[in-house]
Amino acid sequence: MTGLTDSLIGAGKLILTFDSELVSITVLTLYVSLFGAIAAGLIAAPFGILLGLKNFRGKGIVVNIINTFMGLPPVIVGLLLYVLFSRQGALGNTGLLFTPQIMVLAQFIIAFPIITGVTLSAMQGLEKDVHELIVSLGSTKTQRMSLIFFEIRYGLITAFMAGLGRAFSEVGAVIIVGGNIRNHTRVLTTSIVLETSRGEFEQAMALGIILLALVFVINYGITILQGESQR
Amino acid sequence: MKPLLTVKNLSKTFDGKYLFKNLNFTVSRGERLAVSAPNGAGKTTLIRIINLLETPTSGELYFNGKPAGDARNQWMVRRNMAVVFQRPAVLNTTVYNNISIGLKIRGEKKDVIDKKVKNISKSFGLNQMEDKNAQALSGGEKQLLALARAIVLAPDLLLLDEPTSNLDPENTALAEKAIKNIASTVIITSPSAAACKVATRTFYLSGG
Amino acid sequence: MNRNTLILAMLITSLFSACLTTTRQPTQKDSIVLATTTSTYDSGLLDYLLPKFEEQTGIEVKVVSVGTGHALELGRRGDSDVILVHSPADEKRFVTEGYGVKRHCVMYNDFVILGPETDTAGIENLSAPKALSQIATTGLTFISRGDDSGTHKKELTLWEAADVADRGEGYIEIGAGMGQTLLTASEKQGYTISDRATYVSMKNRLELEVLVSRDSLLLNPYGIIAVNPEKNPGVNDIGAEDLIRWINSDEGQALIGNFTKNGEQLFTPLYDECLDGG
Repeated sequence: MTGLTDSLIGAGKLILTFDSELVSITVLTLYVSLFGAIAAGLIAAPFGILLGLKNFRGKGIVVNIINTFMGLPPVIVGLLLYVLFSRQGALGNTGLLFTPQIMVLAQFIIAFPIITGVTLSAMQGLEKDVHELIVSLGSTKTQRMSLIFFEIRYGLITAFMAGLGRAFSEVGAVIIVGGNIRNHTRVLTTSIVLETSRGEFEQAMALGIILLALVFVINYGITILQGESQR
Repeated sequence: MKPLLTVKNLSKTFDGKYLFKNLNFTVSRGERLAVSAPNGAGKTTLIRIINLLETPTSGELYFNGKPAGDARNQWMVRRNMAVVFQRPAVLNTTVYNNISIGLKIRGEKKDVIDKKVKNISKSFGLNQMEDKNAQALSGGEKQLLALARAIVLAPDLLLLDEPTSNLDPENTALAEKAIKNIASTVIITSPSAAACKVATRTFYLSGG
Repeated sequence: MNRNTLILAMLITSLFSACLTTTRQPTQKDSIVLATTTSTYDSGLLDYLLPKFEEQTGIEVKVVSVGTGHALELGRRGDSDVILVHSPADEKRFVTEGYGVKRHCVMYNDFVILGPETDTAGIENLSAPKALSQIATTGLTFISRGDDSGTHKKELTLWEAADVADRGEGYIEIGAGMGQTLLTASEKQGYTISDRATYVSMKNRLELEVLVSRDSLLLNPYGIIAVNPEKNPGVNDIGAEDLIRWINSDEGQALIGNFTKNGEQLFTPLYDECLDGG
């Protein structure tokens, strides 16, 4: 069995050859994770803000539910979606099983409670008098939303990064609903599982390095945006 | 001429006790009304109620003759006012953005905003710090910022709750000069009557 | 702030358009979903065989490789159009229960019992059941897939034939695929059963030797079955039959026979003549 360094060197060689299958797996990873996390963020962030603002009867229960779902094993999401979208399932007619689209849906469901939860904590950090300032300035409800959005922007970025990170690292749910089909629903994480189970460690390592690099670049990009939004 | 603000039978309880009871007064356009009372007597609460940030236990408010308390579109009523609190909150952004935010909300054009903000920050000595994050300001600087951001709106009604408490004598004089020069109707609170030099009339707030 | 949001929005939109164009099919291709087992897929046979089928017929075969139980379930649910597994009892039941149209016997390979070079249990060249009972007696490590796969079921048949009270102290079930199981057995220098194809393809990564083979009980036949459209109306039964016809044709069968890994032939074509006559 070759050692770690040999695996790394082999990985480097594989990456540099720009293997077309590697490229398509990487592109699909980006598509599924980004699309899912961004879609989740667009809905979860305003939801989290509204939840943080309002006080209503069942609020404690709702917050509890969100916290529970934040820790939900994603593979359960995969299982539920599989049963639902299987030909014999309620939504079997959609033909969405084993497609990238259902993988996006799984990522959306997984990222949603995370983004909501972190947004909620960011809202708790929003001081009452800052909120009152925004109100007393004569802002409409929409203007208030966007001002709060801007005020907790760092928290929102953290929320999104948490959701995105989760999406990138997801394996279980995505393999169940996607089927890990070559050229169709194979992403970096599921490929790593496949190659590892075959003992192809160099290949698996190469995929792992690419995944890490991807996550690094995207987080870096977000950090730059964060810095710009200082103003 | 209808008074700008009419306060009718306004009462507010806190913890079962009356902060003030059956308050009645009017404020006419152009007046500068000082509300004087000892600490804890409810001056800040009164300002908050007028700014529609709190609801009174009982009583009504009228702006230009129209009832304001239950207005669906409270934001429209608030657009005629600007408020400065004793320890003002600032947004997590530059001083410039903080001052200009009210104007942006009201939909003013960018170059108009720019001119107005630059003028006011100059007169309050804030122009050197325009790009600084407002959260890094001292207490006194924040208060100047809050004054600037309120005054730049040229509101019909300017509400000031002990606005110079954190200012040194030089800046206090600056603030008082600015307050005297604007066209707004002013309601200003202070703990002692003598300290308020800008008022045209004084109202003594007594407890319930 | 607004300018940056705009830039971000543009980046995202361009990324999506790029992604969508690479993942969208250029033309509406006819396609079928083939559910098979991980060991079948990992042998590399399908990646070698199917492109030729696709070239000739224009039908795209989407392969989902999972455990045998899962593959059969995919067939029952109609989530796949055709199944290719190596578990004769399950295959027959699949058809008699009405989920499959007909069982076609495609090819066979064999299982081998593997162990460390040292072979402390001394099972070399024994019969398969004898070898297992020997391992049980010595209590040495035996790695079982424990996942209801075809390989696992074969293993269970052999244990039955071995007729032992218990399988020994060293019996471990890891619930994993063939590749993983082999790696584990190699790591632990224990014994295990594997299909020859997977072993051959991973040989140079393993420290295991073939100790028992060529026992008739170790034969591993593969069956391909089209999912019954009467139970699952949405399946592509025509495409499935096309694949079955092709794979059992002279051409398909010759290709199977010619498939080698590390110089060794992995599968023997059956020409649709089942080993057990069924």
